[in-house]
Amino acid sequence: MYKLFENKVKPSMTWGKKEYNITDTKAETSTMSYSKDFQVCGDLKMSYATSHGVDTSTITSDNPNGVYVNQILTFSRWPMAASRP
Amino acid sequence: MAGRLPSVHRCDFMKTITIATAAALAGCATVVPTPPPDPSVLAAGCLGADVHACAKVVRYYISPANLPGMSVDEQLTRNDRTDVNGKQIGANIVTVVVTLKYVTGYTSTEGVDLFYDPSYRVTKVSVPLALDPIVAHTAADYASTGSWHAALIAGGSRCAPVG
Repeated sequence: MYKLFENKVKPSMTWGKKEYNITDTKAETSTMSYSKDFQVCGDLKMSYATSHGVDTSTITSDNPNGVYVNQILTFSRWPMAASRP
Repeated sequence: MAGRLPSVHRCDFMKTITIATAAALAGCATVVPTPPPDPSVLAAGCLGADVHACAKVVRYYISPANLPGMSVDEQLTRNDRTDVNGKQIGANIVTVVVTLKYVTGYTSTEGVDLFYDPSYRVTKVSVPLALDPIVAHTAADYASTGSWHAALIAGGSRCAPVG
């Protein structure tokens, strides 16, 4: 798992461009990057996504700049895999 | 700051997660002690398992949030509602609200999203991580990310051993 991430997921990352979103109620910059569809744990398909930026709607006393970072691993089965009884 | 709830994302995948998480957090059920998961589901992982059983596996590996949140049944009921045209209103997603603990000691409330089919079997699991694996290099670094627990939740014992 760790080797898969280090040797396959990281090198194939698609790095997104910074995007800007300003509305009547907030301002935000965000960058979304991902790497997807890796076979892991036998018949599982794994994808990874990360998002970071600054969002005024996330400002709190302990996060005065509204910085956020999120990273998510998603697992599913390859389409050909049979469902469990 | 790592691990804040996402607010706006740039793909439908992440947007769906954000919406489901927010909806779960908006609920009003009381957090109750977590019963142990079914050993067979724990061993086989969430994919293909009943969504209720999967939620217990999630809570086994990641601490439930000490916050009010909608129960699995409440979320399923909400999702299954139909509009005046008979079209299902909600997406087939249930969010288990958890507490992620970071190496810095900081904790954050996040959502593990369980996507399910019409028979309420889990088809996809999205797990937030406590630390970005992109910055990890050593086995200890990766262990801190929570990626291993994410794999165990989805795939169970087939994902052993660590490495």
